[in-house]
Amino acid sequence: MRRVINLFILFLVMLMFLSGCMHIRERVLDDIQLATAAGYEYIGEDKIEVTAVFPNFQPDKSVKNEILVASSIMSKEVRDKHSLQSEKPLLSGKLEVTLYETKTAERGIKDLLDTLERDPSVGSNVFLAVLDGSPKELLSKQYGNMDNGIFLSNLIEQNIESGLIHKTNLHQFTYKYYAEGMDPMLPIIGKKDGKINLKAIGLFDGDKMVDRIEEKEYFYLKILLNRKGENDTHAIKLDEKTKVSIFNIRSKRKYQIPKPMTNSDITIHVKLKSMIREYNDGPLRDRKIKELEKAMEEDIKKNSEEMIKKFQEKGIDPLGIGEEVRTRTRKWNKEKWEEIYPDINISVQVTMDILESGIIE
Amino acid sequence: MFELEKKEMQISPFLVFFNIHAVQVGVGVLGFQRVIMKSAGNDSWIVVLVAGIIVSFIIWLMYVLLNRHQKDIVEIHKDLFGKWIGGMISFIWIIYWLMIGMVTLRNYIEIVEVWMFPTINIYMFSLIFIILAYYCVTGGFRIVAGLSFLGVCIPFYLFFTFLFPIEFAHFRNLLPIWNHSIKEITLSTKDMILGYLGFSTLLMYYPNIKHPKKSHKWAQLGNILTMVIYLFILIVTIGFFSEKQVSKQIWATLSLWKIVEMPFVERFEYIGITSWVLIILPNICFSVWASTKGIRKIFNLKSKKVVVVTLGILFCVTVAVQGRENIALLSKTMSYLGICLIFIYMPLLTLISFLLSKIRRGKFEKGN
Amino acid sequence: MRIWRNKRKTDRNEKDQVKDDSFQVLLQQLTESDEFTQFTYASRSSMLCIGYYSSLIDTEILHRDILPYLKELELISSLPNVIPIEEVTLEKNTTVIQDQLLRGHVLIFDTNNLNQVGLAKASVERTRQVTIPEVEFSVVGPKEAFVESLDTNINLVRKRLPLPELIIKELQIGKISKTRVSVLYIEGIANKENVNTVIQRLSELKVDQINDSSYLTQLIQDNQNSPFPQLIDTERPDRIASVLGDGKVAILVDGAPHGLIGPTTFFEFFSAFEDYFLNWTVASFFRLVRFFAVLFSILVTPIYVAVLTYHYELIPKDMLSTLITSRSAIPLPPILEALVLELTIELLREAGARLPTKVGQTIGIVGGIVIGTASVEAGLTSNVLLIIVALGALASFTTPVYQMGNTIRLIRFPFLLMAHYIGLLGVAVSFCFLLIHLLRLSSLGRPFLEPFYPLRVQDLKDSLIRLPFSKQSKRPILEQTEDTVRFNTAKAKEKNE
Repeated sequence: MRRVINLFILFLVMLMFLSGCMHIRERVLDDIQLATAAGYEYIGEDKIEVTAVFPNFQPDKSVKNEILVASSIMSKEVRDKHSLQSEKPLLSGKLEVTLYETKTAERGIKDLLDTLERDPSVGSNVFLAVLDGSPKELLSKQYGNMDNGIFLSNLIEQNIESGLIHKTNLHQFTYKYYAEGMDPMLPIIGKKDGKINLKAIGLFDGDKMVDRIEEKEYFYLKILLNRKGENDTHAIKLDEKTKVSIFNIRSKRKYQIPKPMTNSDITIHVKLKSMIREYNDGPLRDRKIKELEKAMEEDIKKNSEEMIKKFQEKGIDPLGIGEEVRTRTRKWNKEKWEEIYPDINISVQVTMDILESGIIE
Repeated sequence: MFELEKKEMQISPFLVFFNIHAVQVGVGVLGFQRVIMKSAGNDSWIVVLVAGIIVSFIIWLMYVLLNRHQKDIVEIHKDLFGKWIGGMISFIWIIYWLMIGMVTLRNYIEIVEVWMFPTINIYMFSLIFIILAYYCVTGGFRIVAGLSFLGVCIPFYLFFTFLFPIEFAHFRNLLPIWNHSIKEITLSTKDMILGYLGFSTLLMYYPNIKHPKKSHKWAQLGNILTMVIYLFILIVTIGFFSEKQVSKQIWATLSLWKIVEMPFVERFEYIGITSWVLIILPNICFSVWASTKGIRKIFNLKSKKVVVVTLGILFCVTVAVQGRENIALLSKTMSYLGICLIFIYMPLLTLISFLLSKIRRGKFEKGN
Repeated sequence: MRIWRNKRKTDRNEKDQVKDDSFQVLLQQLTESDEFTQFTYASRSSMLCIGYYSSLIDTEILHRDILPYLKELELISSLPNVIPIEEVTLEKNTTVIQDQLLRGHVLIFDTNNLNQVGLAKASVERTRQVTIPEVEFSVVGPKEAFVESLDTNINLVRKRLPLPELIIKELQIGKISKTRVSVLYIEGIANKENVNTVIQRLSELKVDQINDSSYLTQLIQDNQNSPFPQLIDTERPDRIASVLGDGKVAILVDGAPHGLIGPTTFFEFFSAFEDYFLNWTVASFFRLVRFFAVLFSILVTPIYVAVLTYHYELIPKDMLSTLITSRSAIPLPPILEALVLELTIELLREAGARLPTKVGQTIGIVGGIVIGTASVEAGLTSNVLLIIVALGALASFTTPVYQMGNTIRLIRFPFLLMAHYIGLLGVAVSFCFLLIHLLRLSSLGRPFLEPFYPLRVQDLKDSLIRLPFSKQSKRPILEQTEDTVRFNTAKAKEKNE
């Protein structure tokens, strides 16, 4: 009995102390400002301007997009400066998208990533993107019935899911950045006719953007990037009047590296199982389909080999060929690999299989 | 009367499975990857297996010793070395057990400080744990074992959440197998064994098991479950992070959770840290229970106040150690003590026990 | 009177004197109460004195079965042979006499011979009829519920178990209420240890009054400070009959329309007896729903408070706008908002429970709709929280045992406070506290969290789920029954074929 009383007293004392002494800062949901997007731009040698986007929820359930702009030497410093302009504290726990202005991306974004990696409240699902144009200008306009952070995040997410661009987020970027035989890529966002669109994919060497590939080349990149893929779409023009568009149900990619870490050839085998989405040259017979398959194979082979050649010339490896080599050898040496990489002859073998052609012949 | 009460404080042998497993899995799981991958890289999974097997051997050794004597270690010490020397050695063990509790609690509080509430008042926060431990330990061993059982079963759902990162995992990273030297593997194994420590409380609760000899296989299975869980998390980690990336993550397991997104909840690491309360609490309770029982036996005390004293020490040390360096120092001291006691002293003790009994038997026969 | 007694006193020896004296004292004591009727009646040979409590006896019996036969009476000792009632006794002991009078017996004695008095039972019990169970109502199955009379209740149980092995031990508890308490068990099934525990605890009770079985629950359960009841309270005779067959011990109290069952487990509180009337798949589903309803009810409001106060990161982006807009106009912090709403619901419940049924219903509807809508419109609470709290309350009402439902509602408040102090960690810490508490509890010395801790796989068949009857051939281990087998499955199978 006495023990129970003791425990009870202890509990009371605890409660008394708890209310004041737990020392935790409350962050009540409606008393904070949640930054959903941040745009970074260097505006001087060492000075960075950060545009933070946060939603302002209106009582009529609509959302107003609002921005804060401030500059400082470090990005967490900027957040404090943002708070100076804001009625409520600005927090980064719900950050959805971070944008890097093209010049900034070319200069290198490693320093700017540190704050995202170090802060426990920032998730790994944050989308990173390069921005053609000024973040301040682009983010200040409202594009949908939501704030720009959510809008951009939905835009990128939707395109990843429908297979138009590769999977990308903060984790993937840092993974590729730290991986020894791989370089990261980020989507590039631009403005066209007052609308935001995904223009291209920026290729990075380390943390610096060095090149970009345009929309029509996404397909080649995607089928080569992942071991297994699906949902990719591609359209080609065979001759003057024959045009065909296919939809990729399943694709498989395989590396053949007979002698890793040497100059010997590397072959990438790609197997595609596709459906025809659109075709404009008469009825589709079996023989015609065979012809189409052939033509497609040729086209993919030619274009992807060209693309890889370009990568090799720039000394970048967004496809992760280096990783493939690394996991096949015990004598991995990063410097040596970087030396031999541009001279390796990399060929692509494509097998295309058209399974279906829609509900009409 | 005393015997009857003791029977009520006994547990069935299969619960040893949960006891062993619950004590092994603590805060270590949240951040063991960085340490072992530092030298063993993508071959760390071998390290987990090797360490598990070594620990399995030690558990076998413990059972050899305990089955011979059918007593807890404090009494074995008393039998073998007499009251004074035996008591002193037992006291070292007690300090070690208490340190397990301290290290667990302090590391957990550090995680809370870094991930959730940087400004949290650690006095109040550890006091809450002390009260919980008090409430649990005063209930007797059956309650402590029960908490370890629930502490394994209820948070088990967490291990399914590690399926989410697999979407982003590159399992090719596991290749090429065995591209590290034996030396590197050994070095990592030493670090990995720390993740398995804590099972030595078995030496204290052995008499509380109903048919202690039957519990051996359960103890081994408990160790295997620990191994499987470590292995699973490690493989996901190797696939999910690139090697250099892991070396930057102090708590890689928590970072794994950052990617989890469910329709009703995002950012699973907060839920993970929260659920971990239920995983570390049995740890603390076991360490407090073992040291309390040890102190009672050495000094022949019956009073319930011993628990208060043990918990008081635990509390003081926990709040006194602050900052990552000091916490690491505490952990390191504990682990060295643990390695010395378990991997050097335990085999030695078993050997001495054999030799002494032989000598004594010899004397006995001569006397006859 | 006094003179008369004094006169008699002289020609009696020492020992008789005391006895006689006490009988006289008793008589005097009895007549103090105006309700005690006493008159003399001349039989053929002597002067008889008859006394009784008029409120306790059936006058018809007195007039039809007692008075006419007294005429023939020669000696008081032949009373049992004369009166055609089965319960006629001769008594000397004054305490017994007093006791029997208070239980509706008629006192008959010869004014000349106070050595022996006769007692004839003419009691009448005024109780209500057996009615439909209200607390544990079930759509299918028997519709009998206990009433306030112990004998009726025992009758309801015994007619379901026509067994000589069904033993009923009766005790009397309470210095002034002298309540009859019966302990029921089946010899050969129930563990003697359990029975002895119950009987010992009951007989050691030192209380003056037992007005209901719930007094006993509070007095004899293992941990009396725990908010969790450790004995099941039921008003269904079929439930008692069924658990007696499991080897449990039941306690029935005179004047209480509820019986108690022990030893029991935490999970048994979430099984309604109706579960046995439904197919096992349906029953198992309902049990799981009920159990998760309880978890939901305890955890959901605290989690809401914790997440909104500290862990905004957890909220998915699609849910953010819903939560923020619902809270944007509210001046109160989440904890106060939640406390206000939770207390409102408690108020509604209390008001509904204290008022007559029909008014109570109106209060519930009016309160629920008007207060709910108005408080949202006034911007005092957010509509999301209103939904959460209402669901939580609804979930807590699914608990089949009323006492447990109350407990569930109570323990939400410490959770809520802890959630406010340290967020989700507070919820986890409170949950641990709850777990340790449940681990420490026992029911008649048997573990409360069985069959999960200690894990008894065999008992899982009737815990959170209920397997078909054919799989229930063994009695639960919890009760440590003497006869562990309910029926032989092999034989049952043979018969089916």
